[in-house]
Amino acid sequence: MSNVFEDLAGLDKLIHEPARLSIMTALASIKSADFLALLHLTGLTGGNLSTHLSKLEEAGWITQEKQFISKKPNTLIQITEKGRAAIENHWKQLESLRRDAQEWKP
Amino acid sequence: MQSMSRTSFLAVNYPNLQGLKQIPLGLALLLVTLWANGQNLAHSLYLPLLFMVGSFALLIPIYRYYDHLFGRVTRRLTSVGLEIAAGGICALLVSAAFWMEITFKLPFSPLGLAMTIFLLFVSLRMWRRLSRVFVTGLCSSALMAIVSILPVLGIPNWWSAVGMKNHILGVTLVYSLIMIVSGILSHIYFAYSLSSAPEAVNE
Repeated sequence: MSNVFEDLAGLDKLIHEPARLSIMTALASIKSADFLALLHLTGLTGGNLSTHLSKLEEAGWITQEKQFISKKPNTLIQITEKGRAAIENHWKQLESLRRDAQEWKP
Repeated sequence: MQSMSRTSFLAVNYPNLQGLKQIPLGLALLLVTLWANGQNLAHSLYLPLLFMVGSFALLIPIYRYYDHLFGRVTRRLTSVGLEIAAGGICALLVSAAFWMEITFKLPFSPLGLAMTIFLLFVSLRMWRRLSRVFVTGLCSSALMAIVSILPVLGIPNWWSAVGMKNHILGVTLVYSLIMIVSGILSHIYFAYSLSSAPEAVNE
């Protein structure tokens, strides 16, 4: 039987990385956000956010739709059902690990 | 980087915290109240209509300001639907309260109390462990409630002290000022709560 610390080390690093966790947390609460709003919500720089969004898109957890609004480029980001399930599962895992850590005895 | 609960709170309330949007509405109500206070209501409604159209026209640059500087968040249908339903109930409540106010001579303001309930609903919508926005909303509700029952508390005709002709104009004056001030405070909270984004351009 693995202990809580082994379980912590086994968390999905794609979603557990703080910047991506922040992005997914924001997107899970809403229907969609544009790139600028996500920048403000997460506090990431533009390049950093783009990189993380690409990784999340590769995993199929978000979609990015590039459009023009009043002739200005605008990227609309939405979480997918797969992404929503992933973040909800991740929070449940963390909650379970928190309870296990409180009960852990060496 | 902010805490996750704060990120989630800001994301869900992104459009609601953009307080400058309520200033034109507060301004329209303020101007119409001042007009009603100074005029015989049998006169033309041209001026109050102009106030309302002009104030609402201010919404266009304000929406563009927020979209350009802060981007746009679309909320989930469930939260929007709930708000529309609650807003509809509040509108009915305010209409009923207005009818009561003009039909009966009551020692308190039903319209003011209906506005209090609306302000409470707005602040509860943004409850998050005594956040500043929630506390501001609570204070606004308390002020509105007190103003509505001042005659019962032994301060009749308080509205004449602020230059208003009657209780209904007094409470709408207070409500319009609350809308404007709370809108400004909400915007300040919104702007300073969001993390700074040095490369904040839409890609």
